[in-house]
Amino acid sequence: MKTDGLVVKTSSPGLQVRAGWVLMTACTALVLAGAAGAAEPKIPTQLGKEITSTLQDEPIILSAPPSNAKRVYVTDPGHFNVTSQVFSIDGEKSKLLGMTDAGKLPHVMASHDGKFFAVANTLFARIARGQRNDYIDLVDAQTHDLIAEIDIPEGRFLSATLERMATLSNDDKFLLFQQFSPSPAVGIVDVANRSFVKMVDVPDCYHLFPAAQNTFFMHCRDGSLLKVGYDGKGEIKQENTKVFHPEDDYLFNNPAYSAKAGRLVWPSYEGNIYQADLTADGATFAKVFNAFTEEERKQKWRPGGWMTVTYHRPSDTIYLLADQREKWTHKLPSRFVFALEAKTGKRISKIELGHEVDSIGISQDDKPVLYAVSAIDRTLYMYDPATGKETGKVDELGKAPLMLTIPEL
Amino acid sequence: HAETTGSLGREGWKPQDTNSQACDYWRHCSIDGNICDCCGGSLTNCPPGSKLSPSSWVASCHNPGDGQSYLIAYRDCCGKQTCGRCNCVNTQGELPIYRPEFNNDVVWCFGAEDDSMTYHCTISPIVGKAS
Repeated sequence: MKTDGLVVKTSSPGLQVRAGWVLMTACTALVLAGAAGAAEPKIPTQLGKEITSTLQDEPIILSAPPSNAKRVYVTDPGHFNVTSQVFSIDGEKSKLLGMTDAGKLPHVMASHDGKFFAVANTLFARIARGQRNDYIDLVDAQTHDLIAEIDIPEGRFLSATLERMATLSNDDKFLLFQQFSPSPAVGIVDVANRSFVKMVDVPDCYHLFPAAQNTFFMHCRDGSLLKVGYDGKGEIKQENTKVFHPEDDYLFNNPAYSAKAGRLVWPSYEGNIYQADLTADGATFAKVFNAFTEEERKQKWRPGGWMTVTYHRPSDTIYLLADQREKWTHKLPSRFVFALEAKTGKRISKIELGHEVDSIGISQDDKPVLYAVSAIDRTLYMYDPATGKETGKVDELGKAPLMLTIPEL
Repeated sequence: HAETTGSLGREGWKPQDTNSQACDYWRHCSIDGNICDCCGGSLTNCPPGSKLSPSSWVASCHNPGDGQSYLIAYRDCCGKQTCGRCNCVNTQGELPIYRPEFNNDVVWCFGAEDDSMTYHCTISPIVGKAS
């Protein structure tokens, strides 16, 4: 909620909207720089007519096609860099469509209608120091123009980017983000009205999984889930589920969650797969299974990477990123994906990726593309999960691309 | 010379006690980010112009030199852009985000001067012996 010298302050710090701020900021910057006059770009007067001569070609600014199920956003947090890049990619054609700038350790959220995406940002007034400013950008998925900017308190949890530390509600009307310090809280943003609502206190719980009817779930330190109901004014009701995993079975930082199915899929360091169906009424937990055979466990097969799991809703299939590894190497990339029936745990296939992969995701259509991003290769690879064959790639994606965001249309 | 060396592999953690600028130096068993010693700081001190955080995550690291295990408090030096040199990700005993005292993904800059919350690098001071 703080504003730096180059950002226009509004009279209502609790409820400010800054749609159109780009122009305002540009004007203010010019005024501050002592450059009086109109804010229009100037052409250098010392140059001749040639530089603005009439062209035979007609350059325009392109627009991306409407987002379909095979749109994928790849975020490069750049190893804790103060700025980040978000790459919009057509997963079917392996084509880069456009880019979006973001701040430190951003959260990227695709709307459930595919029309926009939200980026939760943190920027500092003087590169890496000075006044902090947290805000949400809403970006048009086609033009990549800013739809709106919504100011929020300086409360974003700055950690290596975890997919579910911020989320849109299932109807895209609200956005939730997590605060860690000075105490656990969740910020509620009214996306429809472009305004911040309130920070609400929560227990020692993490992640945000949206369910129907203004409900979300979190995962708590004690091993339970917390169900929270909220309204547009920031009133909440909360209730814990049973404890569903033991203290010494550690759940990875990036579970898979299908908001449409309400299905949460959560692997542990040793390959146990926990699942729950989340509705406004509560959580229903499935029987836990291990992704590997006893023989494979002896051969040290374990999940590992950053986003180690993805869930394909239409076929009820779990994809798990894994490799042979010693204990406590759980964040190193893997070279294999195991496809498993979510209902039974039965192995469908084992896909050899052929690359050192950190994160996986899958498109939610009937003939899906399996995405695999490698930070070290700075490349997104595409696979046909039915055959395991690599079908495409997009390279040169920033410094260390790590996050995949896939709209669930 | 500060090229990243001694990076962790899937074959597991093999600590050494001779080169504190390498990722496999024993005290860095759960470091995530950049070794301050490669950024103008030292093993236990922050680089000039950065801000030392008073908060940290911890890990129990085995010292092959004396066969003892020590508790290391990883404190971040903050208020500057990511250092970029000697980038290491080690995860001995590293726990998920819901056990934050053992989690190295958090930007551990809480309490640093001037509310500095940008990550620059990490130091590896000893708190005491681990049992």
